[in-house]
Amino acid sequence: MPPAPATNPRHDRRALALKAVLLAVLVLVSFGTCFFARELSFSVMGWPLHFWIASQGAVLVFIAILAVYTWAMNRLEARDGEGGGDGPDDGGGGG
Amino acid sequence: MADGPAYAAYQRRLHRILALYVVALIAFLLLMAWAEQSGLSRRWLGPIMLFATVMMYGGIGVYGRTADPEEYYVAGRRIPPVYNGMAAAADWMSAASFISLAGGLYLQGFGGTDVQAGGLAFVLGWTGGFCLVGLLIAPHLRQLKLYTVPEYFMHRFGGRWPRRLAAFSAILCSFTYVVAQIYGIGLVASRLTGVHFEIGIMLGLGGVVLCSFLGGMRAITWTQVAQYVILLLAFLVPVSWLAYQQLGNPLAPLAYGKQLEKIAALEKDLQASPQERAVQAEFQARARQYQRWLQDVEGSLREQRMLAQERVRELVAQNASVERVVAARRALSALPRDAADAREQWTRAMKDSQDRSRFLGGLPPHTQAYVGDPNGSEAERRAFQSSRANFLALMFCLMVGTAGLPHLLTRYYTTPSVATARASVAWSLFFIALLYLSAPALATLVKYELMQNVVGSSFNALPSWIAQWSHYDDSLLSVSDINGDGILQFGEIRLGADLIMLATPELGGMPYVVSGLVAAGGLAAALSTADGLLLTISNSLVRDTYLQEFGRHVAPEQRVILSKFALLSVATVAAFVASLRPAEILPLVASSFSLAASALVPAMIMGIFWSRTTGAAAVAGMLAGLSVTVGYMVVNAPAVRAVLRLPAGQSLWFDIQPVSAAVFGVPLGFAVILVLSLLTRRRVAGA
Repeated sequence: MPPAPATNPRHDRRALALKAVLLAVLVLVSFGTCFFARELSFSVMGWPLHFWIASQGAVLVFIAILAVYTWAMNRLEARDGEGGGDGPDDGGGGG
Repeated sequence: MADGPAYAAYQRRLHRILALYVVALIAFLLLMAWAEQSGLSRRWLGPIMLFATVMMYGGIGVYGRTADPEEYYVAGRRIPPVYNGMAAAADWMSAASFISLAGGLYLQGFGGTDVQAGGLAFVLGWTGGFCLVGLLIAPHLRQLKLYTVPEYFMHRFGGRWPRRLAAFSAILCSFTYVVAQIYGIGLVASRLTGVHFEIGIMLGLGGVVLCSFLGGMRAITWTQVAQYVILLLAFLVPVSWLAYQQLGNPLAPLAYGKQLEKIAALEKDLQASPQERAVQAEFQARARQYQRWLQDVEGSLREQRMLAQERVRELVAQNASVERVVAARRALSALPRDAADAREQWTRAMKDSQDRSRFLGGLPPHTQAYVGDPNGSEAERRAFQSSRANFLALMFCLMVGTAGLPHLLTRYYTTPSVATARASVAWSLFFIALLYLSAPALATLVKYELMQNVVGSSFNALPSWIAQWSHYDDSLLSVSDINGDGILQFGEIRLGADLIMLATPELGGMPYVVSGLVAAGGLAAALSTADGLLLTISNSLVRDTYLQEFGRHVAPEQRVILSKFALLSVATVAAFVASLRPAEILPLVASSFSLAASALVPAMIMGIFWSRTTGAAAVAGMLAGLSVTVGYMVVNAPAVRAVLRLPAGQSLWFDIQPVSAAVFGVPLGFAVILVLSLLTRRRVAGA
């Protein structure tokens, strides 16, 4: 007998909103800036701006996205932990 | 578990060990440098560094040996996030990142051309993907306490087919990827020790297999941490050295902006240079000649053969020097054997000559965003749009593929909790960025060095690294005096993507110990990724396939033994495939990203975030995504087109290159899952 499907985890609305905002930032700094790379080809402080964004700026933003996410989720979970019950989760109560 | 006093003590012990290890490593390097100064031959230095590092990885494998399933599959789920981040970074950074990335950036500049996108798309895709992993996937999978990625499909969707398909896709993309790694191992090991490519593969692979065979995930984790430190040092030492030489500042990523401007100026000079024009004209003439030959392949081949025979006879009759006769004989035997062979060789040669007849030997200007001109003629506009579309498509595939590669996702199974899994993803990206921010800097510095100092030197006084490498392999580096003036022009030298990193130390005149370190770094990058991949493949074969289909009653210890033997066999098969020397590393790796992206990601994300996703829909979505992606790649592969008697060239949708096929597969997968979930749910409700 093949195993039955599991029920799906509930997602905390605040966590989902956080994810959506951060994903929007991701799309903006990667696809957004690269789409307009030709228009951004001017020099800022000795760097061609489009080249700097694609080779360094965007990567630094990616790290910031993950750092903010980790920090914010830990805060959410800590706050919910005080009230007892499930964390806002990354899938709390799944499985 | 994550915050008890015992765990804190465990972490302190790890910090101590890491610090000791770094100190020992630096001491070892200084010792090697001293040995070189006091006259240790290069013939010994390279192999010593290679064997010392591989033996160390093997040693960690022996030390971490285990038969306990929890340890073997997920390293006991107690790796602190920082260390897991380091291990994931090494797991992630493959031979392609270490050996080919800087070279790709050198060849492709900002974004490559309209027929081959690349450049910074690799940097952005391979780092941006971690945001998807961290935000959408890794913490959710960690929550479920799984052992493999296909297990998620079984857990979430039930039934057999979601798991079967996931296991199949995991094996498919990991196998393509592992072949590329083993190829890299062979390249580095054979270069460093001078042994044959095939023996190089076996030597390097010995280290991988010993480690993952004995200790599974536990041993792999700690070897990967050790390998990360080596590959970071091996990348940063030559880059900083070169940056200090050129700019007086070893912090290359902060300082190389100046060189970008100088390169742009040098590129302008080259464009105006009459010698470069002469080289381009010569390539144009060659391209036309091949084109002429291709119009009547058999006739031209007969003619060429007669001419070559005539030349040999003439030289012999003239009593010419032995070398010239031998050279003429060699030219005769190098002619294509038959018409089919000739057609293939000459088509390739024609395309190659056409490429090199362009400005800068076919390289796009370094900082120019995309080729063509959005305000130019019809053809220029088209080139610009297709170049930009391909850049964005490649970036998309690499990002989404990152989120779907099973060997990376399983790394986050080993953290103690969901929160540490999140932190660990952030750490991984940090450790990867240390290297990725320097790769564009390296490409820029090397290009400047070549344009400024190497181009324009006499053919009699070329730097020794050029002779060495072109002697080693023609596809890595070729130089010839095309316009016959005895001076090296930029258009006359062609570097392979795999060469830039490996030749950097010699280019900068660094001591040979740095070359050894770079080679050891390349080996560490390839080995660490191969480790993770082999473990993923063998676990998918044993846990997700064999045990599920046939052997449900196998005891846990026997499962580990089965996994270990599956690993050995997979390693052997992969080594065999790699010894056939498939295409360059970078495109091979990029295509496995498209496979992972289209097969696994839509079903995983829909399963995690939409409770109404059904198993049947997931299966259909995976099949649809995978078949569109594979189909698009296969239909556009020249070999397949020849077999199917399709017209030569490619049939592309929206000019998107086959390597980015997932740009069609992923949205289709999502759409199919969405529609079918709604339909199947309604039918069940109606029944």
